[in-house]
This record gives sequence, structure tokens and C-alpha cells, in this order.
Amino acid sequence: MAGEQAPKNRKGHVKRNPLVQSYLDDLFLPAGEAGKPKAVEEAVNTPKAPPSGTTETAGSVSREQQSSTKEVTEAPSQSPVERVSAVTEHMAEAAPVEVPVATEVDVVQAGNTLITQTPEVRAFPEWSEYDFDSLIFEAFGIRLAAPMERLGGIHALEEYEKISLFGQPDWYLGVVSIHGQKMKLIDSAKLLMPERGYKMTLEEAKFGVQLNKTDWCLACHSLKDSIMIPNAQVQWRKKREQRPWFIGTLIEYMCSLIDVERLVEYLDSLTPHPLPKEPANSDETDKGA
Amino acid sequence: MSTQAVKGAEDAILQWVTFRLDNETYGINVMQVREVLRYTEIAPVPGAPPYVLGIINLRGNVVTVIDTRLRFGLMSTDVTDHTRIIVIETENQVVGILVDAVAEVVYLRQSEIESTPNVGNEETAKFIQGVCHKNDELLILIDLEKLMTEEEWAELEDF
Repeated sequence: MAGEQAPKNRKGHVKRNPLVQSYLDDLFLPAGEAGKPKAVEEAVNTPKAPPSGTTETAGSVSREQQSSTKEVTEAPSQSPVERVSAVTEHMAEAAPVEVPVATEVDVVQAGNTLITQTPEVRAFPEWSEYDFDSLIFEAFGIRLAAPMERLGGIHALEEYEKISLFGQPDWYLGVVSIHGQKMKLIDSAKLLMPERGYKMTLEEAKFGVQLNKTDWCLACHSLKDSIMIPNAQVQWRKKREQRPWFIGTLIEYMCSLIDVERLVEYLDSLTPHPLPKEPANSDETDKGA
Repeated sequence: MSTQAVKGAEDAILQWVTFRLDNETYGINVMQVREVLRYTEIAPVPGAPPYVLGIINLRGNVVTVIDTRLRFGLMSTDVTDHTRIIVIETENQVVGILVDAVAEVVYLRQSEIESTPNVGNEETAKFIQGVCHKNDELLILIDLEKLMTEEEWAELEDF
């Protein structure tokens, strides 16, 4: 509702008490301008050499936005201006920490200093910052865990028709059609711990753990538990250059915790060519039926 | 008296925890041993090198367990009632080593320790700090720091 009033005020369509109008204007101005005292505008009008570093502005920022940031950063070092500059600098420092990806709005809020920054990617996903529900499942005695909120579903595979496909990687079990969606079934142990030498067959796959809303499904022998894991009960991996999908270990349950997004990225990277949407001949290739 | 005292001071007595692996007795400095555990379930870790069996939960801390037999170039064997995990503390970190059995703690004078004979596999020989004849038995003393290379120790920190 407040958002709807802002343009009207700025265009002068609605006439209000000047005090109320001023208050509302302050509220609805862009963040870079918000709270700016009138002394700043007056100070900007006085001719003064601009400080270094304020002349470069990204092309994506509008002229109005550029002028608003310039007004603040070019202000002379008088006490009210110093306060505003300090706030602006603080925002410029704080913004990249709090916001994973720098957007155009963030740039305006933070002033000119943020414009050249590239989008940041969090080392750890947001769910890892809090306690989280986790599903523990098992394949060949290897226990794995995944955050529930990053799972698209858990499917009992015996209810569905499973089809194996020729010429696929050894960790790829086949396709299972679940509610009309063709899920790609992955041999969890073979993909995630190939050094153990386990190989699941399509018949052995009892449950499928769907990764997010994708069509990737981790096959497992059994589901063990669904539990709330306190953040402190995870030994988070410090270095994740190798196996970035392996984010940590659940200490109490001694199982590897999966970063679902990174695993999906990894799986997508392994399959540059999309798998066929329709199996060629289901009668010949279906070993599980 | 003074010469004997100096000799005694130089010839320090060290304590060694001995363990058995495939009919051989090995010793590690007692100062590096934190505790000895009965065999407990070892959880596998994704991407672990072959000499890493997995991890155990030691009172809320994750401890990596090394396959000592594999490291020493020996054939693997089944876990028995005597199988133990010796939790050791090296300069870098705390790890567990899986052994067939833990025997005893022996006292050895520095002068009793002989240098390593130049025989056997070069890979495994580098772990050997020295040997000692005790009770008609050859005791092989292990230098735990050399059990793995710096890169391998660093890799263990990532589990």
C-alpha cells in the first residue's frame, strides 16, 4: 500500500500537509537518497572538485540514480554530510555480505563503489546457517543425508515402472515414470562413493530421493530417518574444491550430508547431452518390470 | 658416579604402546597415544583415499580412521574381538589407526633402539623409526609423523 502512494507523492498528484509530505518523501526516496538532510543538497550546489573514485558509473545505472549517488558522495566534509557519507560507505561495505548476488538496486543503495562487483556465490547454502530437517537414507550400508527442504519428493519405486537404458554411465540406473514425470534414477553409491566398488541394480532400487524440483532421483535401499539436525551437529567441510556436493558430516549419525544444489550442478555437468525423453523400446530394455 | 649419571641422563627411557599387525609387533610413542578404543562402526567418507577407512564419532568429534594394514602393505583381515582403534595425536591432527590388537606398554632405553635395517619395501620402511629386541621378540618402532606425507595429512583434514 505504501508502495502505491510513493509515485503519487513524488509527482505531486496528491496534496498533503508539507510535514507529512516531507516525511513520506523521505520514506519513498531511493535508499541512496533516503534520510539525506537538506544540508546535503545545499552543499552539493556549492562548486567543489569531486573526490576521486566518484566519476566512474556503470552504464546500467540510470541517470537519476547516478545523480542521486553523486549528490551524496560529492558532498563537502561538513558534519551532516560526513554522517551521510559514513552511512553510505557503511552500506557499500555491508551490502555484499548480506546479499549473495549484487543487483542493480543493491548498486544504487550502496553507492558507486559496488557497481563493478561481479555476482557473488555463497560458499554454503542458506539452509546450512540454521537447524534443518534432514532425510537419512542408505545404499549398501552407506548412509547419506540431504536437507528435506531441498528435496522434491521421496518415492517408493516399487510402485512405478522402471526402465533401464543402454549406453549410459554406470551410475545411471535408468528412468522411472512417476506421476507422468520421467525421473532419472541414479546409483547413489556408485556416483558418490565409486571407490567403494558397489553397484546397484535397477531391481534393488527401493526408494528414490528426488533432488529439488529436478528430474534427478537418488536411488537407495532404505530410508532411515527424518530428523531435525542442529547446525552445530554438523562438521562442515572447510575446503570444497573437490566433491563440492559433499558439504559436511552429521556427527551423531556419521553420515555424509549432501548439498543438493551442488549435486544437481555436478550431475548436469556429467550429462552434456540430454537423455532421451522416450525410451526406444520399453519391453526390451525394462529389466525391472 | 658423575660419568654414570651423565650416561643415565643421556640414555632416556621412553614408553611405547605396542600393537600387533599380522604376526608382527609394532610400537608407537606413548606420548602420541590419546586413547585406545574397541572397534566401532566406521562410516565411509565420499572420495576418501584407499588408506582411509572412514570416520568415527569420538564423543562428538569426528575422527578419521586409517587402514594401517593397507598402509603397511599388508593384506586386509576381518575384524575380531581384539581389533582396536588407537587414537593418536600427531603434530597436525588427531586420527585413529586400526590395528589387530593392542599388546602392552613397554619401557625402552634410547640405547636399546637400533637403527632400521635396510631391508623390505621402501614405502613401508620409511615409517620405521627403529627396532628393538625385547623378550626375544623384534619390536618395530613407528614414526607416526612419517606414516603419511604432508599432502596426505592435509587431505585428512578435509573429511
